[in-house]
Amino acid sequence: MNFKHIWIVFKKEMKDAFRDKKSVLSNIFLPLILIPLIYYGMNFFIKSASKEVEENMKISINTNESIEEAKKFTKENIIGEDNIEIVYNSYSDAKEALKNGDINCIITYEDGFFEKIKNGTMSKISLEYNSFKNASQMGVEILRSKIMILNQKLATQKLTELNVSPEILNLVSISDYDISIEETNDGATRNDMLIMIVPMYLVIVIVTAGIPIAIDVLAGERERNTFEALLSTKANRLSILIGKYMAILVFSIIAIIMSFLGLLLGIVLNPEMFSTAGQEMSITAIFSTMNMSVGAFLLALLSSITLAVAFAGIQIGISTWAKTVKEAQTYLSYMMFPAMILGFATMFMGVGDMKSFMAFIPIFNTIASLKMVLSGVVNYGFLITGVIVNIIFVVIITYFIIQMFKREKTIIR
Amino acid sequence: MIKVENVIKKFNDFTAIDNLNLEISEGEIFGLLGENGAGKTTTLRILATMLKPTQGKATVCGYDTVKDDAKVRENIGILFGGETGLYDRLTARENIEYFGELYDMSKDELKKEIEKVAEALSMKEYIDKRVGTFSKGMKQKVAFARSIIHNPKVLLLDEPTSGLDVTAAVEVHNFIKECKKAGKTIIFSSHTMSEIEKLCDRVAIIHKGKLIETNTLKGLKEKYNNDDLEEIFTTLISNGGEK
Repeated sequence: MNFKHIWIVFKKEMKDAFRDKKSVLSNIFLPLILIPLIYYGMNFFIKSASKEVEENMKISINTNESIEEAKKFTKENIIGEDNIEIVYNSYSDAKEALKNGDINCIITYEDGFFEKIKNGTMSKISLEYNSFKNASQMGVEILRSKIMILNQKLATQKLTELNVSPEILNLVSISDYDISIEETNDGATRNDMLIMIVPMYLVIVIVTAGIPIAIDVLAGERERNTFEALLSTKANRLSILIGKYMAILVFSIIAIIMSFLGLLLGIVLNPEMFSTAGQEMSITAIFSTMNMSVGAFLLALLSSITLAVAFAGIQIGISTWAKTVKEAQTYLSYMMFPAMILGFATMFMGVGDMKSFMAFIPIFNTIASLKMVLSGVVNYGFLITGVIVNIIFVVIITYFIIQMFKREKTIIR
Repeated sequence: MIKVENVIKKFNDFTAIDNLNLEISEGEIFGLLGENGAGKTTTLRILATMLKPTQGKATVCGYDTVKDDAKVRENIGILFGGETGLYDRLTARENIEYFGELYDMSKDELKKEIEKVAEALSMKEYIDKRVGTFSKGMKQKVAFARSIIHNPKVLLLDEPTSGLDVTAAVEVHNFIKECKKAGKTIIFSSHTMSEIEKLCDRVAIIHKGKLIETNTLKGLKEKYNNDDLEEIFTTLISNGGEK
């Protein structure tokens, strides 16, 4: 091994990689712009869809009583000041309109509904909606909550008439208290949304970030016919391998940092999507929810870096083994699956749900470490075990790729 | 300068080289002739330390290609394959520099040598341009410059004019002649008989991994009483390697 040769190979690969405009744009700059844009788009469409429903909601009434009386009751007691239009008098027309998405819901008042309301006896309203249409689903939720308010209002009226305190409706009051907050370092509130998204997202990026450069520096080198010329220089194979390994790793780390910044930007620019319990979502507020100790932070960082090193090694191995760039692309595209499967499997897990065996499984242990750091509930034994396991993983992978590089069958194909 | 002694190279059950013996002297241009799959590239790869012989031994400048592989690589320059391999996003100078640095050349030495080789191969105009836009002839010149930048004693050239137009091929021929004048030993594989006739001092004809004939061009013509090298070659090959 020759450090000078390692540095020469590394320098050349970095120069070559950063001159590949497409790769730099798609791996370094695009995540920074695209992730905030995706979140902005999602937020925009969710907001505009609910605004559309709120502003253009149309319902129909189905009753055997007087339709005029039903309309009046609905407007005064359910719709109130809101902009909900009552259309169609015929039930069959209304049903067809509901199927086509022209109206959001049909309210059916049972026979004798208004008489029963007056007498204060139980009366029934049915709501028909079309779950194939998002606007109909959103509409039925709006109506349901309005009817619940009406129910509360009528019950309160009735109890007042009977000289009974309406408080009887709330005989049991619930107040809940999350003891996990006590376990965090300073008792600050966690942001569950961040704990759910950030570790999964980061691990997927860690596992896949080096793929484009790994393909280029090995399978690409073979396809360009430069590999043999390079191997015929004074530099030995190990120095060439380590130089390339380092280049993939550094490129990955830059891509990971840019993706993380993109995610952070996406969160800050779209606070409504991420704030839980009305939290403020500025950068300072986000970091104040990460109740991490320096030790825990460093261990989680080490876990992420060792995972990145291991996967850069796997990418080198696959790219060296592939005969062509296309073949390498095909194999490496599958690399996203383990990260996605383990990422989604742990997405909804809280820190308390993390089992000790997870520390022994790479990817799993990094996700768990990141969740711990973000929530402030730190298990140092778990974090240290995770880092050791990842280091062993790196050693095994590195051993295999060194052996691979020594085999002429792998190099000359 | 180069010795190949009883070399056998097997890939699983396939014997690519079968008991090959060659001896090439210093300053000689030695031609390797053979059909596709005859074992020419495998021979060159063994000499370049890319492959290890299954049996037998090869030495370059007195160094064993297996035991002293690093020393062998210091003394050789290679140009393999029809498609010239260069890094498209680097300039011609950067391509050459990269290899020079890997041969431990100093910056000053490298600068001087690049100027010299750019002059010799008429590359000055485009030496600082990225090679992605170069024609095949221009690329081949850069590849040549790259393979000789560290002033190797031995050049291993595997079909270096493949796919080049006439002018570019002639330039390559002239360059090889210049290398010979500079005392370099050259092993040269080609399909083109006229090229072999023009450049080589001696040739080896290989068929299915076996050495059929080694001789000077004059010696071959006299032995087979034929002035046409192509005919001699096809007769030898069609006889299945039987002399």
